[in-house]
Amino acid sequence: METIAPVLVLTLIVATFGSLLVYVSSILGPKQHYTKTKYMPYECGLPGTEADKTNVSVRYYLTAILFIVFDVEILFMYPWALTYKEFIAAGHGAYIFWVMFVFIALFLFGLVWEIKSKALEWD
Amino acid sequence: MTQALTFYIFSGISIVSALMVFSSSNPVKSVLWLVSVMVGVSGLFFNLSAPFVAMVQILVYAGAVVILFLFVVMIFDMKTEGKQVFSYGTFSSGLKVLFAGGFFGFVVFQIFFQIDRFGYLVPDKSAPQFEVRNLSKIIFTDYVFLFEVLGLLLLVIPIGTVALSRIRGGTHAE
Amino acid sequence: MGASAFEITVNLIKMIVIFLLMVQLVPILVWVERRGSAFIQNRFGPNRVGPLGLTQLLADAVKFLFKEEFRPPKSVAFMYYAAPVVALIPGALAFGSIPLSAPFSLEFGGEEFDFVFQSFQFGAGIVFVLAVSSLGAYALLFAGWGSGNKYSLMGALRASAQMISYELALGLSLVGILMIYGTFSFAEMVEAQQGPLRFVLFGKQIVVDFLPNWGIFYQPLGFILFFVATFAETNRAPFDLPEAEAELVAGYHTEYGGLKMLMFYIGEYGHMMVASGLLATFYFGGWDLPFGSAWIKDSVSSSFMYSMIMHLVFMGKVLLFLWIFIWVRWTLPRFRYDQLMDLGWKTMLPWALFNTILTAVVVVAFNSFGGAA
Repeated sequence: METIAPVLVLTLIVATFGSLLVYVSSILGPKQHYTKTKYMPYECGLPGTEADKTNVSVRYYLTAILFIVFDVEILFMYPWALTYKEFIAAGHGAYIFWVMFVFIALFLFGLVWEIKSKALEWD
Repeated sequence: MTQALTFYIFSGISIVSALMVFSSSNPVKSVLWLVSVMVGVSGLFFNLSAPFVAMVQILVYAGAVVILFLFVVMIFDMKTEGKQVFSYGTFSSGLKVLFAGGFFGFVVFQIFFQIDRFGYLVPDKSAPQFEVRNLSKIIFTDYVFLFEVLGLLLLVIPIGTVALSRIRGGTHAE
Repeated sequence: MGASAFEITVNLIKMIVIFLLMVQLVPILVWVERRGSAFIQNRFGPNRVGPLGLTQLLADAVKFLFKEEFRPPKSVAFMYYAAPVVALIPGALAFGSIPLSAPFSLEFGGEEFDFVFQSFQFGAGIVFVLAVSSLGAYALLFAGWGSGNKYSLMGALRASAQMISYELALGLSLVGILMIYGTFSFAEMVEAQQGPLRFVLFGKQIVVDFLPNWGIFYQPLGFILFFVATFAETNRAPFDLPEAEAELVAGYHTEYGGLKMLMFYIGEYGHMMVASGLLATFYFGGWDLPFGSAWIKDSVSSSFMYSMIMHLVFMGKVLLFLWIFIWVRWTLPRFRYDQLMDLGWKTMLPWALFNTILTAVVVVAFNSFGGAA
């Protein structure tokens, strides 16, 4: 049976290594001198005018939701692709092909609709 | 032994992060804690010898849904941090505590009094392992109609989303 | 992890060695990148410290160590410090699940133990790598949100939107490969790519003696799509919009310096190594040396030696791809953001769908076409 333990162990090793690097550089580096400009958020040397947390475009939201939908569709293709040859070997090649063809046609229709509706335009 | 250990680690991660999700004052932090919940749940799936489901859990939830939440949260006004989320007041606070306690008590009651009913859920060593191949064979034979309906459903979602984001007078009308 | 103490020890050592292998390759790659870019742009590059500037990396490491520790006051402490650590994890986990060589066996106390040349082996290896690398976006989001700088945040948002857009093409281009090999496991894929090119055409077995049985001959279009998508996934030029210095200073690591910035670089190069390893495994036979594997196996006494030699073959392929990554970065100009999204959604995704359908048609028409014939 597969176990997740090695993944946990490796994560722990990497995290320890990374934290150690951050810690080591923090004790070896020189002490800070306070200057006003240094403590401002970096903006090419000019004093900042806007708040640092600005609203983001609604396009990111559209991109993300379209991603979820298409991602789920692609994930359904994985088990299908895995057993594709087995279905063919069992003599159901045409059946398993058309099952996915209909699915992909719906996928493609959605994609074309998105492109036509200009939901994927970035400017 | 390893399985028990990983179970406690992952359920610990999920529970602590879930607590952090609703106790953080900043919505962005809440969403980022949600990733950790998803990773913990995925580990639990892995522990139940369903690695494919575990990985799909990460791919879909941590890799996509939480990023969507993050974008949604960031669309809204983020300039005021630590907004007061709950209203004060003796009566409403009492009501909240009552409801929360009642729900918690209900869950605990269910677990304690029904636990021996779940005896059949203890994994049977002789049972066949979870296999993606078997899953695939079930989806594409017995449930093939539902599979195609799912394709249709997944087609409706993006169309609806785009239509909603286009509503005139909405916050993001073109 | 294993049943006996010996097995657990070897597995642990293997894990650490593979991780260190990844980490120590980074300074060398940085040197190659700087010398390579200088070579491409007709400059000298670093050539003062040591022969050919080779010890430049040592000098850099010392410099990074003694940089001032600085955290912007507007930042969120936990996220600011966690981001570089989180940046290391996805690359290391994904790299650990790629078979770097043939499995080997060791003898201890009169008993034979079998080991795989990777940190851990999963039956669903491909999905594991995809899942873990989809978590890579969070390091950038941690850095972007934690820095309290709007350029960082914009860089992180761009990076995550870009990564999810290309993840579709990346995931879809693999469906063809899955169809041909019919497995999620890397080891079985490499196994299927051994020997000369052979397939069944209308019930007739055809063997092409002068070509290896590699995935690229079955999936040329899938290879191109996967290759392009990995550039976007690793945030490398020409898709390095998250750190477009002309508009975003340095993107998500604007507020980072010293070792913390170096750790983001380790993460980025780690993703490049994972991408190269996947390209080699899916399309170029993994650790297989065409027409030589069997001969080496016969002439080498122990399976451990054989594994080591095959590891060199694999690393040769990986280094070749890493050089292509560097080459492309210093040759092609950066895309504009709308062009990038257009390429991902309107060009690569339809082509990946076309590749899937084409492969399905070909496989079903030739009845059994591909590796396991």
